[in-house]
Amino acid sequence: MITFNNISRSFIGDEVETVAIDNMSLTINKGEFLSILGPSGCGKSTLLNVLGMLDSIDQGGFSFIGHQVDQCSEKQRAELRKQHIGFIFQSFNLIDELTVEQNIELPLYYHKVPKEERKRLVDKVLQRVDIAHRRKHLPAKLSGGQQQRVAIARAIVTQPDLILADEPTGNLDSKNSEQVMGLLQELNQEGSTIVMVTHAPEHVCYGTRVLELLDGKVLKDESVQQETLAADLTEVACG
Amino acid sequence: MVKLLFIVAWRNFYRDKLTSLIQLSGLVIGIACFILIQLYVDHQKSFNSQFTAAKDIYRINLIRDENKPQAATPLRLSKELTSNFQQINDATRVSDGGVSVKHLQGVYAEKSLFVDRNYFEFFDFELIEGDVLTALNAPDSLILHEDTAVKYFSRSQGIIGKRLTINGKEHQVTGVIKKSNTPHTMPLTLVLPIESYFSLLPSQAWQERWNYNATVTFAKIDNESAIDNLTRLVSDYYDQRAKGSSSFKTNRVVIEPLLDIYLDNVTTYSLTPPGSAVMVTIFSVISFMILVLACVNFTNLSTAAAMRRGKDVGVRKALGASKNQLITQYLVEAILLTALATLIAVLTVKLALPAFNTLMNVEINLTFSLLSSAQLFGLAIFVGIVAGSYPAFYLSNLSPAHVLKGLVATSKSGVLLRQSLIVLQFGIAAFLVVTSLIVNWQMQYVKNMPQGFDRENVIIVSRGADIFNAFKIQAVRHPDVISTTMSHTVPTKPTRTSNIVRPSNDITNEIWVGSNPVSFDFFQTFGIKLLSGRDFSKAYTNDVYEENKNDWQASTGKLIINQSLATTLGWSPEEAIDQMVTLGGGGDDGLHNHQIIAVVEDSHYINAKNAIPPMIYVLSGQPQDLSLRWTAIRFKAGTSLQSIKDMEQVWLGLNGSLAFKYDWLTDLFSASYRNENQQTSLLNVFTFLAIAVTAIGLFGLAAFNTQRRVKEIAVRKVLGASTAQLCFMLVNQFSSLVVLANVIALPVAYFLMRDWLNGFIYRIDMPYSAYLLSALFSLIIAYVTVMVIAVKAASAKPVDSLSCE
Ligand SMILES: Nc1ncnc2c1ncn2[C@@H]1O[C@H](COP(=O)(O)OP(=O)(O)OP(=O)(O)O)[C@@H](O)[C@H]1O
Ligand SMILES: [Mg+2]
Repeated sequence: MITFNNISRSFIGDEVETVAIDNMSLTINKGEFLSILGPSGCGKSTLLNVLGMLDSIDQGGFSFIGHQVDQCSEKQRAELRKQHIGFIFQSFNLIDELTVEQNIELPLYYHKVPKEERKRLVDKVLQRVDIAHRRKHLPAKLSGGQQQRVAIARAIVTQPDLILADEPTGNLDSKNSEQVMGLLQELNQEGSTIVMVTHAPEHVCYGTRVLELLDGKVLKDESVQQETLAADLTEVACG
Repeated sequence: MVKLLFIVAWRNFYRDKLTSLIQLSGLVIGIACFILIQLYVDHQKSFNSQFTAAKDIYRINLIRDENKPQAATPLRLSKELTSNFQQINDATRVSDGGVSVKHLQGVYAEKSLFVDRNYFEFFDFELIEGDVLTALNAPDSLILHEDTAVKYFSRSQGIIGKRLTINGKEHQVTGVIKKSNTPHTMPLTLVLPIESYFSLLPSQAWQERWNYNATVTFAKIDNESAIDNLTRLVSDYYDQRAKGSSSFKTNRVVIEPLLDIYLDNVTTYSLTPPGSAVMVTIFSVISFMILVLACVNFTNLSTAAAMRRGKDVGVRKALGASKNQLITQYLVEAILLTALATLIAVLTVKLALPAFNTLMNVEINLTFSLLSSAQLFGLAIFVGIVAGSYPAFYLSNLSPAHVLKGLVATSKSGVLLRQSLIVLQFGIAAFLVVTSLIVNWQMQYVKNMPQGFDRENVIIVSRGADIFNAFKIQAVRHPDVISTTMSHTVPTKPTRTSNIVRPSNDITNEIWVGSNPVSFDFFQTFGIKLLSGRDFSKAYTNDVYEENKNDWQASTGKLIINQSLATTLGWSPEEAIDQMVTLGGGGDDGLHNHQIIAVVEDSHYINAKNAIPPMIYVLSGQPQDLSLRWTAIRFKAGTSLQSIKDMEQVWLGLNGSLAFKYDWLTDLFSASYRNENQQTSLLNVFTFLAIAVTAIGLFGLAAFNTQRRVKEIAVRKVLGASTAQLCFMLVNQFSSLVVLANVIALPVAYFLMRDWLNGFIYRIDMPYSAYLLSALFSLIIAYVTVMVIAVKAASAKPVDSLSCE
């Protein structure tokens, strides 16, 4: 689904140049649930932004379901993003003035989905994330876990091929975190491709593959087997 | 503690640089406009206040029948007033007229005032030299204004006793009037004893006539409460004496305070052109509006910025600051900012004054007295408190808990207030746009409407009746001269004489008409078209108008009438030809019949603010017969200045002591609209500034709102919103407000403009497009202003705003 071919992305600061992604090659297949681990500042968010075409790359080849992204215009990339990708953020990023329902409806509106259809899809996804009883509430009135579930609903309502999540549990307590992770796992099992950045190694076991980064390079790339996990992370209880 | 107040204020100013600068510039424009207009209004109201007795001096105006009041009164009125009315302490006369001054080799046309000996007891000008008590004693005395003195003698001192020849008679300078820095309504002309004026009269008996209005009469009355009664008594006295001698049925007087006469633009025959009280009021109102706009900007942005200040409030409250301390802090900040704005505004005014003075043709100086500085200081504090109090109380009332939850910026009352203030601002702006559009269009219309004469390539020379016949013979030989004529009055000047026309089959039907005695070639020279019939011509001996005072019926002369009179008489131009009408019958003259030989198109005298009266034209055999006053010469298009020089040579060759003073008819025409032009441009300038202040305010608020929404914008973008969609969303939040503002403001403008237009005789239909344009214009202003910010925000890369978590 996604191929990176010697991708680099660096930021030129006042004095130093930070290489956030350093000559990285990577393939992500359809149906995978990829977790990205690594210390702070190693380039996880940058990688996710590049994947989501929110950020550009300096050099290298990047293809996304057959499109050569590095050769696309800004406008074409926005279109690809709109059609295929859903985002989930650490700080939820719900729009304060809109109700739960309206927040979820928004991407459909931008996709020019007709009104009836929008209502049907929103209803469906509200059920899916189990937040239907709060549909008329403003985000400020919801708990963090509930807000993140709304954010997930908003990310999946357009039925994207790829879901990108940057520390989706970063602002949540362990109980809410587990709920959110469970939801993501279900989505993956239903066929969505997911790439998630996380700081919590115990969440890796929800996915199918794990990538460890250090200083913009891939340190480790392996698939998750329930058995190996049990061996590696003995202390951590896995669902 | 106080020091800390200032330090914190400075830091806050510095931290929100953009907001502070926007607030500051709005205030600067608002306060500068306010100061400037107040200076102008004060100036307009200060006319004549320099005279010590100003409060006790009144001008006597006459109202005859339904006519406008006029300042021209009989020469004998002042004598009658002082000898018959005890409450009138003293009276004086001021007449004006043109004179020829001969000095060294040159002959110059000058205006002169002819005044009574007690002139300086009324108008106590300061003399550079000379004695006010004796300066007017000798019949050949002459008083100069500083500028005229410099013009003739290149200095304003040491010229007492110098001589100038005026109208052929030697005069001796007996005084020089110092230029005053406050305005007054006395023309800065030569000043001569009134005896010199009597010698210009056709007969000395005219001094005693009740129907010959040739002077402006001023009276001193120290008992203000007696004015009403006195008005009645003088009116009756005047009415009894004037009645038989003219055709007017009622004759009343108005006793008008000297301090009011400048802003009285209704009364005619004032010595100097008047200002306009309505405009002074309008400008005061506009200056307040602009100040309000500036205050609104300030309040609006301060409350908007409250979100950022919110944290500040929370921390301070937690540290134990009282509500009053917080209010003080915020008010001090507001006052400091307005004080700074006032300072910059004063500098701006200082810089703008020369341009303003040129535009308005005034001489206003910015002087700093203790009083004016105190006023400015008061203004700064007042504006600071007005603009700063809502934000101060609002901020100090914030609960820290709310601030932490991020509920401040979206607080309902705050949003509502900001929205109503935007509505107010755009309402004012839309109102001003409509008003100035309509005023501009109406003025344009009046200036460009057909005037009924061709004002290009014509010069008007004053006087010259004695030499006209000889002059004409030589002048028309010049290759560039098309024709020349003389007449009693000319377009752009009032018709001074009137007559009564009666249809000869209905003698009781009196039609008041203006009358213009002319010589041959008048219509050709002024380009007034004949609609039917023939022009006056030497080929017909009976064309010349002659009244036979012994046998009125035997009076002769043909008439040319204008279209208005033909219409009034019920005739088409063709039907009017050869009809007989009856003239006379007013006062002591008998009735006499005359034949109409032509109808000419209506042409404006004075200007198009006045209705075209029904007019008759009569032919003056010799220029002196019917006292023709103006010589007019029509040149070929594109003639050179040399042709005019040639005319001057011819003129001076015929009479070396008569100045050749000429004006282009086009210049006289534009001069008659000078006041309107000035005021229209001033209105335009202030409308522009009001819009600028409004746009600045909206810009600030939009910048702030957008800044608050950067994250939302990024999220929406990630969710698939296009740049265009986002811009539309950001801009759109203001458009309903702007529409609402128009809905409120435009009806108000409509009613005001309807009344204003109704005041014109020749007017445009209510231009509804102005309302549409103003609505569109305010929307465009709002869109463009907000778009500047929206485009930037909406096209930013979403990562940049999302990563700053
Ligand atoms: N817009 C930017 N400008 C300059 N440098 C940047 C920018 N964004 C990221 N960086 C730098 O790139 C490197 C990688 O940043 P990135 O945000 O990808 O790290 P991260 O792995 O997500 O860290 P964390 O776990 O703390 O979120 C860091 O050194 C960071 O300082
Ligand atoms: Mg990160």
